[in-house]
Amino acid sequence: MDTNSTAIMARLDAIDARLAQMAARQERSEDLFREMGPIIKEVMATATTKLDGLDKAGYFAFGRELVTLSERVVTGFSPADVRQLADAVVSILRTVRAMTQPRVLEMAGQASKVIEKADETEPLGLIGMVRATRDDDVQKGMAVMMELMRHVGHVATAVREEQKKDADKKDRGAERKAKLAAALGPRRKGALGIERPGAAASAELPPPSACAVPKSTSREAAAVIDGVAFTADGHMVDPSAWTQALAHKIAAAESVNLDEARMPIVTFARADFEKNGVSPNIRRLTQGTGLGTKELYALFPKAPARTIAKIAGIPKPAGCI
Amino acid sequence: MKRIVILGAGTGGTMMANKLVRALPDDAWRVTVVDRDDVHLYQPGLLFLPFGDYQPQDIVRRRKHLLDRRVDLRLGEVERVAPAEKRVVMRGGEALPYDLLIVATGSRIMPEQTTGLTGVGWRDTAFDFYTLEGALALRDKLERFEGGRLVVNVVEMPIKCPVAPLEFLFLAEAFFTKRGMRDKVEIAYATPLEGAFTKPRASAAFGDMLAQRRIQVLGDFSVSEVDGERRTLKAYDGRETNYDLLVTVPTHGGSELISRSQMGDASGWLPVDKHTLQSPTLENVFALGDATDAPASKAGAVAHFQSEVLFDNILRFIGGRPLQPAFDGHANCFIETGYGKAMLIDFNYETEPLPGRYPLPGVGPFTLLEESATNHWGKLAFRWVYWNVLLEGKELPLDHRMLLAGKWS
Repeated sequence: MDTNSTAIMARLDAIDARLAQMAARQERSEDLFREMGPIIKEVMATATTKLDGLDKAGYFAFGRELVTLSERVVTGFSPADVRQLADAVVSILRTVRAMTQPRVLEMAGQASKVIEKADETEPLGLIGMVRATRDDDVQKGMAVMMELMRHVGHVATAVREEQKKDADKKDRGAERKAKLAAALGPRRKGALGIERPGAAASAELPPPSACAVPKSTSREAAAVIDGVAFTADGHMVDPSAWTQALAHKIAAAESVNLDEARMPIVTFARADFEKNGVSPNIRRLTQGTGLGTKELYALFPKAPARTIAKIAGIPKPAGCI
Repeated sequence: MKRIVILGAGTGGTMMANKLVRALPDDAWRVTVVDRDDVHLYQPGLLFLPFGDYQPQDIVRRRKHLLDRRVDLRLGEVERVAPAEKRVVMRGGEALPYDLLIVATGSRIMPEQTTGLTGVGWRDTAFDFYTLEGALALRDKLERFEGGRLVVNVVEMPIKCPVAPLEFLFLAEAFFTKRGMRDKVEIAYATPLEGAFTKPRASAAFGDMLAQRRIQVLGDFSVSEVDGERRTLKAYDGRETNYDLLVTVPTHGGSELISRSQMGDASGWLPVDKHTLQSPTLENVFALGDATDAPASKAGAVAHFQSEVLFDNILRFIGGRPLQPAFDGHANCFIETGYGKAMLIDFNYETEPLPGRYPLPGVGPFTLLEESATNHWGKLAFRWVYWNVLLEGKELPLDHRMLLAGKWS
């Protein structure tokens, strides 16, 4: 054997070894897929149940509403507004903390009880008021109110003085604003990539489509006539409530004379529905009654399959959507 | 050696053959599949063909390559089934005896059943898109189409993939808009049903979808005749509508071999128990997919969910155990709505399509009864799933039953 063929043989051996390796690897992954198939199916089933629980509990609907909410915030406020809000957040939280102290809450609670009972209290004249000030509790309340008023007055003065100081600093403030604007770039209408409509427009934001789901289902009664329920499109809700007398009434309402030529067609439609759970279309009606399509149209000139279904007390022939 | 013969190597037949040949011992069972040709068509792809989004080679594969090597594939025309003798007779006389027969012969369109449809103008001004030839002819027509009135029509129900005409309308509208010629085209939809959407939830959600796209709806329009000369579509109630381009979904029927064997109903559908998929008269005959008379949608998803129930029931039948009435009519399908979006519906015998998320409640990623780009991507990605997972008979992590989980009622 010359060197050439020895080299080829060596190369073939190497390829062979690699092929064997690949085959083994392929077998292993095939094995893995076989193993994983049922496991993934089980995982899906479990996940479906768990997620359905969350869905039914309203988590996802809540999440979708949150998106809408933040959309309104984004469209209603500019980034600068949000920045200001962030600056003020500490004092807001401080206020919230102060207002939620147990004693304050207790007082607020009591006060709201009084307001709830407001209509039970008697009207009070000037003399009645003077008389009421003799009550110890009323005197205490007046003292608290006075203190509160003093405080409000004090704060109002402080705010006015603050504003005066601001006015003095106005020139410097404008300068600072210009600097800030330069740093942030031009304030665009579509900041954050979202077109920002005016306040009035944002108030009219349509509800998310997910919530605009109509609540009717196919077999829901839209009208009850003589104790028989009909759907919005005029078909009986419960086919088993059908009687011949009822069929004549419905036929009359459809301007159809339910004679001996038409009754067998209606009877067939009912039987076919009972057998298949589906209202027959024109072809099935022709096959089942031996009548031609033209004859069916002569007997029921307007949409025969649908008219016959109405008279037979069965659902309208429908597509899948 | 016992024999299972499967008639048809389409979606249902291929899945069943691959599942059974792997589950049954080689030395006890032989699985034979019969089909007339070696061309497996990915039927959902036909929708995209007329608009040039898919090419023919994207949606065609050899049946042989989709079947497990242990499956015995016979190509040829079946003359008839002789259930009494438990054999399938091929044209030419050869007989294939069977112990168990699975009918998966699908459905076919019968344009010749409508007066005038296949006469003057057939595949010139009047087209179908349910066959490869029809879809290709329509593609060439749309390429040259300069405007006029397009009428999309359903002759009568049932049809394969009942939402396909709607999808065609949406895609056509988007196609003309993209070409900058929407104003030159008038679009109308003539349907034998009351309207485009007939179920309450869908009608409420999408009732105005066609109007928004300036598509006229002619409801309760039962075609009696097509006048190709005058390019007019006539209805039984006397209404007429003109067209420059007619795209029709012709009358459907079951396979001729079912009629020849006198096993079908008047339309050639094979009667089965709608929950077990067994023939009510022949206990060793089962069926799935479009071929049956079950009042489920004629769609690949139905064949897929049925295949899981049928596989289980056939193993039960072989083992002498009672069958499970497990099929609930479950179907789901993507509905292309154009402009890179699609809807998804999931329903069964009892429950109409409801809004929600699928398959994972709240998460999706697909949105039920709501347009989204994810649905459109799902529809496009499904072709790979079809060739590589579904037809192989592998498990998809989806329940064959329709679940109310994730649906908002």
